[in-house]
Amino acid sequence: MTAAVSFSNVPAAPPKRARFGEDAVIACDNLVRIYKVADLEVVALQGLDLLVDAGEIVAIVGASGSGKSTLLNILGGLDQPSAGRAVVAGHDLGQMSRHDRTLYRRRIAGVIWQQTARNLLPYLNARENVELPMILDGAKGRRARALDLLDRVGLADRAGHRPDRLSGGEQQRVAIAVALANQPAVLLADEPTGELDSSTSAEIFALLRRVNAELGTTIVVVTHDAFVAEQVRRTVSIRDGRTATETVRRTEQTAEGVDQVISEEFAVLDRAGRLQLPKAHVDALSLKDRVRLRLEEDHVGVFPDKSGNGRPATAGPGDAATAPARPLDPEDLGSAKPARKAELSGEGER
Amino acid sequence: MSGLAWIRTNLRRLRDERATAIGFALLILVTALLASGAPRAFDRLGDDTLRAEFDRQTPLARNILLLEAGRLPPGEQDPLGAINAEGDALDETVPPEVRALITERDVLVESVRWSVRKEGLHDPSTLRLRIQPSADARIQLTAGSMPTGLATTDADGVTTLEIALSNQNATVLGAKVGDTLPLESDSSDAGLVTGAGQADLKAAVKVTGLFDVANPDDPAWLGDATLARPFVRRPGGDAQFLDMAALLSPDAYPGLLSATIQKDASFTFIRYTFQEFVDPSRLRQRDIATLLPAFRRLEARYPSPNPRPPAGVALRTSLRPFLESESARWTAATALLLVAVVGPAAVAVAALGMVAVLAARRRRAALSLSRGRGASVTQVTAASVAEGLLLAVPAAAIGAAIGVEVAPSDPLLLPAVTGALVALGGVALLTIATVPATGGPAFGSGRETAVPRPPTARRLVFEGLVVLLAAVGAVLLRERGLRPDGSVDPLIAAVPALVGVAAGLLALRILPLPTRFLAWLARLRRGLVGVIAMRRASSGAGAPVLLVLLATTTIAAFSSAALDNLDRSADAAGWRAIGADFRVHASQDYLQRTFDFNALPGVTASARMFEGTASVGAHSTQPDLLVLDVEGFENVVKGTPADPQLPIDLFGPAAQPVPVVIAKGLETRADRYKIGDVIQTSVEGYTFQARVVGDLDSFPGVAGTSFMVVSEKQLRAIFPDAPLRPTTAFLRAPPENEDAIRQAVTSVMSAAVVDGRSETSAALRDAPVVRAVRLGIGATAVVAALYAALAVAAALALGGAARTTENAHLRTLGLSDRQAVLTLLLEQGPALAFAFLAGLGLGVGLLALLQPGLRLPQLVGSGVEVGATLDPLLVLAMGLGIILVALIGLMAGLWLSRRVTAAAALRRGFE
Repeated sequence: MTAAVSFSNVPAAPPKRARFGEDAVIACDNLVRIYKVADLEVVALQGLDLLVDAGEIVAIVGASGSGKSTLLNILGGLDQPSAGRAVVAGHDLGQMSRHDRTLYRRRIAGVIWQQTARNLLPYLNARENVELPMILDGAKGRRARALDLLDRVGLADRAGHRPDRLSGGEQQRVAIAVALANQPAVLLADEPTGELDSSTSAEIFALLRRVNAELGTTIVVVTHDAFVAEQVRRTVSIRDGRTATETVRRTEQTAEGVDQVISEEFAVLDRAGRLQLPKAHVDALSLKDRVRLRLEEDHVGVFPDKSGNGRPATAGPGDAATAPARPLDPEDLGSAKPARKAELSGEGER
Repeated sequence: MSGLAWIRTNLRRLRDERATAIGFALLILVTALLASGAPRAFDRLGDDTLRAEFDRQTPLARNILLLEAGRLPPGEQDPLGAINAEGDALDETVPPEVRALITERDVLVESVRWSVRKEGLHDPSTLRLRIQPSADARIQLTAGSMPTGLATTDADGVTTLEIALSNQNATVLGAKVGDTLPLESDSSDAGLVTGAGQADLKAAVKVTGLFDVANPDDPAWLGDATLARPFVRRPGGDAQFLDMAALLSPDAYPGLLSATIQKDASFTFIRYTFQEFVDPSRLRQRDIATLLPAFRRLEARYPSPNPRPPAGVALRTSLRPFLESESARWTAATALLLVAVVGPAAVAVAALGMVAVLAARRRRAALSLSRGRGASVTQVTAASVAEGLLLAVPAAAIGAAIGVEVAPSDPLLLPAVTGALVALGGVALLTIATVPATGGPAFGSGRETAVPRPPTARRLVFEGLVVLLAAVGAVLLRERGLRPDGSVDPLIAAVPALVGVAAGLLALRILPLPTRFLAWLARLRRGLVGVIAMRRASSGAGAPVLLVLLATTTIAAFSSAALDNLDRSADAAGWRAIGADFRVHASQDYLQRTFDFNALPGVTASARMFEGTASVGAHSTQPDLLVLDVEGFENVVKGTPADPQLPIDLFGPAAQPVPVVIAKGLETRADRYKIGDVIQTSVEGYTFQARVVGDLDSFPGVAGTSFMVVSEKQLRAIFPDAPLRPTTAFLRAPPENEDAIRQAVTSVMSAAVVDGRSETSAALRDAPVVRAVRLGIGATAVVAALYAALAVAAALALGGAARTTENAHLRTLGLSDRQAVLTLLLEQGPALAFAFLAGLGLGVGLLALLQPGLRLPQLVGSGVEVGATLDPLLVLAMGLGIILVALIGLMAGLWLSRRVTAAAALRRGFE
């Protein structure tokens, strides 16, 4: 017997307001996170914007130190933003009390971490680990639901095993079941396949997609794994604490009736009109200091500044010489529009 | 129910953390055992000490005597019936608190002194006629028969009674069985009431039997051995009397009454002594406070028998001054033990805290994960409290039960409360260590690394305040003492702990300085070991070990210095009491003038002293005049603590006025004598002018504080014919000659008493209260050392194990096992050395600070203040102990870290 999966126990969302990302399950607006370690300030996120729609599965990629895990910790209710807004399922994570944040972690966000051993309590067996969030929430029918979830992740026969008697892949499956225990609105996975071999990684990701498809749970996966990144329709790349590009994939049928995945990479234009050029593009044209933009009828051209040694060039008719990016004016936020995507590389076949 | 499910789920952890759980529970058990048993053990120690001191008192001092002089009529059935009824009536007047101490009563009926009118007696002899029912069991008849109640009166009205005499008394009196001794009332006895025209009463006694007294020191004799042997009484001058007693039958009481009254109304009082025996097992320290007022009430009701009133009831007991003295000594002992107990209590808390922190570290990851899954602070706290209760409550209950079994307590409330407090303390420590560690930024994400931060300004201000408070408290404590009015002032009693905390804070702030210097030195040398070790040491990870070791070394140093102080106080008191290696004192007579003390075994120098009562000045002050062979005394005491440094004037030729050294006490008397004054002095009919050339607080070997010291040679130059028979001799000889000297002296002078200085010091050192303090301090030091050993070993072991991952990284870079060991040793070395040295200083400093309040010399009955020092051997032993404990901990840490391979350590998730 399986328990019905419902969101009835999720706290009621506050009244909706007409603002940025109001239709999205996850909305990060100009998100800033600054750590202070001893006398050193580390800006992990510096004005990140992100929108994730309900039922979407999104991969977040980026170099080490780009702010991926910081973003996930904020979305998971484990950390608080220094500035900006982060709204998940209608809950503003910057405005919640300690108690609300505890309930949020319990009911809204399920988290899976990279280290398989850190996802599970070593002294509990698989079933007990799955029951733990439900116990914390005082839910009824815990055992049945835990067994149902373990069945869904294919580990019904391993319910009585403790983590040290499970393989890495099995541990991550149990971790997924644990994260789903209280029917969260979002599932956040931080490098969930980082410690797994490729075939196990594929199994785990297949499981995540199945969860997404069957339960409609919105999933955000932080990953380095190119394979994983290619398994989702939308991949967001973070660089220096900001969203840099997005890759969107769609499946089309060829004339021969064969499905092909079309992958398009977009630069992300933030709400202040700022745009990060991909490093490959910058390097290819030796862009530095400043570039020349040309507004055409249907696009903006970006050209290297060849007027001499990086000094400011005289703007010609129809040209706009870009100055180094200025700091974001808070007033910009009020009039800002939703982020727009600028296509970078055209359509490609994947 | 979900709360219970959460707690139950959380408790599953205990299956995987048995070692930590058992360690924590054991520590709680031991602490509860000590906490619940210690107060009762302390009470018992106090009671045992009181009873041991009681046993050392003379029977006369430790029992209660109600003395009545009168003429109670004989009973019709029982001759002593009226006397027993009187005893019962007197008992009713004794306060109930005092009556509760009394186990039995003995009655003694005695006549006044009768002079024995017999030819050929060497010295004038007196006889008391005694009826003592309890005496029969304490004597052995050797000749004749016990006396009967037969009393015959001749034509002159002289009554003859039957008596039994001890063989010794019979020999002195030259009497044998069947002899009749004529008696005449002693006119100097206050119990004689003469009628008009009559001076003396006459009576006679017939000796029917002779006996030996089984034990002349039996408490039943009330310290009066005259029934067994004569007592030499010297009323003054050269006159002396031999006082003896004879035993009558209880049936002779009517005859005794008729023998002590004459037709002209001359009569003597009969003395009735009701001896109330005190049961030592009923004495308790805690009852002293209520007993003292009761004794004062009793003393107010009945006067002292000195001077003995001719009639009425008098009281003789030294129990009140004894109890007052013991109360004061035990107060001093308690103060010292209280300070000593603060140490192990602090170390116990620190040890529990350390184990709690270590346990919390082990569970931090698991609890953080639970927080990440939505566990609230309340839930984590509840789980921690439940776990703590599960571990601590049974352990504390078992500990308290064992404590009660070992030191039975009545009532059981105290051990129950202390056990509960220990359990709650353990739970609180565990929870305080656990819960905050699960919060913080990004908890549960696996990135919660501790970053060392410099202390905030607020914390520095707080620490400064603690140090300031400790300093102020220390000054107050030094001035007021630990128990200013006989009751414990908890604020002042907390000062030693506060000083310890302040010292710990200072140590934590100071330690980085030498560590940084060593780190700088290490950087100057090639090699990785020194640099890594010093960097680790600079991180402050060794702070808990430093604090525990600092506290333990402080306790050890304090205890050692306090015990050493007691020993040296006892030594000083021994020198002051005896005045030389040996003192020969004539208890009843004078020492032989011709006896050659220098010929005694081992004696290298000797000096004689005549002690008499002088009369000086206009106010007729009567100090003891000490006529001393100053040259001989100088040789006896030269280089010893007893040397009073007599002024040179006493060593010169005869001079007038005669140079004299006086007691400082005389300077405050009515005449207010001071150095330079000339005093007219009289002693035994000799009068001379004395000039004060010096003053002394006390004189070695002399008990009083009212004395004058004069050179025998100088005095004899003025009065060549003065007898000045020696009463005391001071000898210089090795202590091992004590028995030989005693035997040689008493074989010639039977009444002489030989006192040895080392023996006296040993007796003071072995006094019950000193033994109790020694035991208490020793026990607290051992308990503190055990806690410290456990805590330090655990901290170092787990600290070493915690370095496993770090060492694994270093090993991948080529760090050898030897270098790993060396790194650990170098890392902990500075903290250990610092803690040891600071602890020694703090311990001795604490004693020096508290000394005026602790009144240690009181404990050994000495008024001599001695400084606080440390025995170098004990310092060495403490150092070796700390090194041993540290090595055991380090080795355990290495062993634990070696159980994990480098690969496993680098891959490890949960600890």
